[in-house]
Amino acid sequence: MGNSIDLIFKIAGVGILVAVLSAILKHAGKEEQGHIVTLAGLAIVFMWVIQLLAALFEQVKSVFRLY
Amino acid sequence: MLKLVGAVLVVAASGLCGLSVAGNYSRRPRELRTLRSALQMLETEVAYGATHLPEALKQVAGNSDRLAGPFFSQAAAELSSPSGITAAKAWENALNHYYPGTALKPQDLSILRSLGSSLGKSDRKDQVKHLHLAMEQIENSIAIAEEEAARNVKLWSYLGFLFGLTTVLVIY
Repeated sequence: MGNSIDLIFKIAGVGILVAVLSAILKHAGKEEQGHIVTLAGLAIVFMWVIQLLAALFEQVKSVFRLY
Repeated sequence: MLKLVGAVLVVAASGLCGLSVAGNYSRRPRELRTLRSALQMLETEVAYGATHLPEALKQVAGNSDRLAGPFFSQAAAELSSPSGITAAKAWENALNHYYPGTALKPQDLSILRSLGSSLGKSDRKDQVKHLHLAMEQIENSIAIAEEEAARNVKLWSYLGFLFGLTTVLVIY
C-alpha cells in the first residue's frame, strides 16, 4: 500500500513540475517546447501507471477465472 | 541518506548548468558594449590623435575595463614585440587568445576579424571608415543580444533547476 501512495506523490510532483515548466516556456515564447515537455511528462507518468494497470487486469482475470 | 545527498547533487549540478547558460546570455550585451566603447576610443586615437597603432592600442587598453582591456593590451604587446608581425596578424593573435574566455558568438568574432584585416594598412580616413562600420555592426549585434538576453536569461535560470528536480523525481 505504501508503495502506491509513493507513486501518487511522485505523479503529483511530475504534474507540478511539468505545469511550471510549460508555463515558463510559454512565457519565453517557446510554446512548441512547452507542448513537448507536457507530452514527455505524460509519457513518464504512463510508464509508471501502466504496470499497475497490467496488475489490475491480471487480478480481474484471476478473480473471474478468465484464463 | 546517501540517496538524499545524490538528489541534492543532481539538482545543484543541473541548476548550475542552467545558471551558467543564463550568465552567458546576460554577459554578451555587456561585452559587446565595452568593445564598442573601446573601438570608439581607438577611433578617437586614430582620427584626432594620429597616434601610432601600438601606442593607440595601449592607450585604449588602459582606458577600458577588464572585459576588453586584456584584448587590446595583448594586441599592443604583440604588435610592439620584436618579432615584427603585421597589425592584422597581431590583432588576429590577440583575438584568438581573448575570444574563448568570452560570451561572444562567432558572428561577433567575424566583425572584429574583418576590422583587424584592414587595421594599420591604409590612411586615417579609410581606417576611420572601417572602425565606423565595425561599430555599426556591433551596435546591431547589441540590439539582438539584448533581446535574446531578455527572453532567455530567466528561462534558463529556471530550466536548469526544474530539469534537476524532474530527474531526481523520475529516478528516486
